[in-house]
Amino acid sequence: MSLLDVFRAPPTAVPEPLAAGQEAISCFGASVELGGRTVLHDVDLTILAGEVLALVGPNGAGKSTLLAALAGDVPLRSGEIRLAGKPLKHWRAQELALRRAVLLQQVQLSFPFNVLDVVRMGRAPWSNTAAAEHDDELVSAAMLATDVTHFAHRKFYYLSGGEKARVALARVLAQDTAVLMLDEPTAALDLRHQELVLQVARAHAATGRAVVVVLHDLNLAAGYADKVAVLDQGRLAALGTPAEVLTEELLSRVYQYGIDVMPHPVSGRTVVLPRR
Amino acid sequence: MTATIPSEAVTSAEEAEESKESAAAAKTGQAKTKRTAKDRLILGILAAALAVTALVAAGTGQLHIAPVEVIGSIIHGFNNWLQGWLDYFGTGWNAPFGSAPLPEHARGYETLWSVRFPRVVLAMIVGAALACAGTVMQGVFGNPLAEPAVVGVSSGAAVGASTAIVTGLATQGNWVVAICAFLGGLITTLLVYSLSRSKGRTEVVTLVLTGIAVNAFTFAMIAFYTYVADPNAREQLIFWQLGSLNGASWLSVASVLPLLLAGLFMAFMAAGKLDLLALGERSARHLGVNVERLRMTMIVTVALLVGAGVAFTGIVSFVGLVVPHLIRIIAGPGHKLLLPASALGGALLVLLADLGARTLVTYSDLPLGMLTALIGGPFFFWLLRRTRNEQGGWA
Repeated sequence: MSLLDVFRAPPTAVPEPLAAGQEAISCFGASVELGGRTVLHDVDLTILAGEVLALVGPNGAGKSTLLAALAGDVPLRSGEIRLAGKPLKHWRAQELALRRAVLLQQVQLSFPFNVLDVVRMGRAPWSNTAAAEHDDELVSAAMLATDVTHFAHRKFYYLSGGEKARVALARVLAQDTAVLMLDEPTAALDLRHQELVLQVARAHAATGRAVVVVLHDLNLAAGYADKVAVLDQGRLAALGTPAEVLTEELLSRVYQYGIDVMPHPVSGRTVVLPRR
Repeated sequence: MTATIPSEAVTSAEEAEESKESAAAAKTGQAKTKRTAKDRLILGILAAALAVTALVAAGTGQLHIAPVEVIGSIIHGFNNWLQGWLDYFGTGWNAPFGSAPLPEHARGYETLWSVRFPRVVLAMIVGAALACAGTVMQGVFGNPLAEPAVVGVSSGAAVGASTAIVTGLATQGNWVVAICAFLGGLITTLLVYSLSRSKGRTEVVTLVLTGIAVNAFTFAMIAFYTYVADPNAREQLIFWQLGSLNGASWLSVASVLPLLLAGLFMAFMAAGKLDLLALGERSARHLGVNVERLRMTMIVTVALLVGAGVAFTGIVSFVGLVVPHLIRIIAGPGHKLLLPASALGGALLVLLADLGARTLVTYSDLPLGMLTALIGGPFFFWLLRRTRNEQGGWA
């Protein structure tokens, strides 16, 4: 392969880690139109390094669209999104891959790769950099953190939905980027693994990374997020700490259903429950 | 990554033991850039099988020549070439391999070099090209049933080549036929790709139905050409639809070899990206793949390879389907091994099929495409059934 190396791109520079509290992603007046319908109106949002931001809201509120816009997957009709201070459209795909990793809701795989192969794919963006020597450590650590190590050599295709979701998360963690974007990482998971995934997200934020996570479970958002952004019909209905945002009045209005917010009788933590 | 691992991650001692083992396996199995021993073994066995088969195939026919004499003839050919250069520079030296064994039969050497060798080499080129074209198509379409002949790209290339023959452009040289086959393949690949995709992936039903439509049209074009062509070209065109290595010559080898080499080079360079594409286009893009550019370069690659596989041999179907599938079962789906192994495996398969085509019935040269379709048709059906069962419907 050494002869082929002549034709490869020169090594890419490894990006500097984000400074604590630095703006990881900022979004100014972002609007998105899909199929002639505006699905995102004028969203302003900033995610700092070291922070977990939860995107919540009812079905069709624009959570996934906002995440796709932040990832650079859908074009904006107006506004601008910056990653590490530089507009998204000025980054090349390769440069973006060293700076942000994205977990999609739908996990697909066309060929019968095994779990280890899939997680290793997360290291692909780094193959041309000095960081490639840490590939194996990072892959092992990501697999441990998502509890998939014991089926490393099974075929991805034969896993259950929850197992697939965890493998996909391991792939995203192995990418080892300063920004993590997770679209409903807990949707297919059992209780223990839901908690596990958000603990991993918290641990990542603690190392100075920025994490954006779309969640349906408001209790998870209350328990693990630094900030919660509530989306309603494509608009940002509220943005702030869980205590500021997760109120009975706001949630009942946005979800169009009576919702109680109360402190837990033992731990005193916020509990969100629909009225029954 | 420095994430602390939640203690609940590992529940029992047994599980912990298992985890440790797998983690160690993950660490030692550095299959990223360097080929593992298993990879080298697979490639080595395929290459050895190909070399042996080539020697046997070259020696088999109405005039039988022993493998030793075939090797001797190759050495003699090289020796003659070397002697030519030595004489050219006026050295007066004798080339050193003049004592290699020659075929016993008086016309053996001549038969090998003017008939058998070009045919064997062309068979290997066609096989390698079609198998790799299939592998690349399956990777780009994200669909294990994509194959040049099934989706109509082969017949598109055949239309390009037929156009060259019927219009008389072919008299300009063999390479014109190869270029026209490439262009025909390129147009058809673009067409199939844009027609059969929706929302970033290609569903089986859409792909197969698109193939039927494209094949119907291209075969009509070939039928039209057959109708209007003069008797000489007509015979050539009929052979086209059946697929045959009958007319192999060094000129045709020289015309398609550049297409094959260019196609293989482009495919090998994209091997890692084709792996990532298995995750879907969005995820591949998140991992740094410029999907639009990859898509276009791979469409050109497929057209180059199919052009090489069709220009002088017509439509040899199902090689691009059968070979990558068997290789995936043995070697796994990673394209870094799959592509070179498919190239070798395809060369081996077409060589064997052609050997069958010209020896199964004495004194006759069966159409090669007919043989591959006889094997490939049932295989395609089995694969279709399996794909349906795995996906729980015609998704």
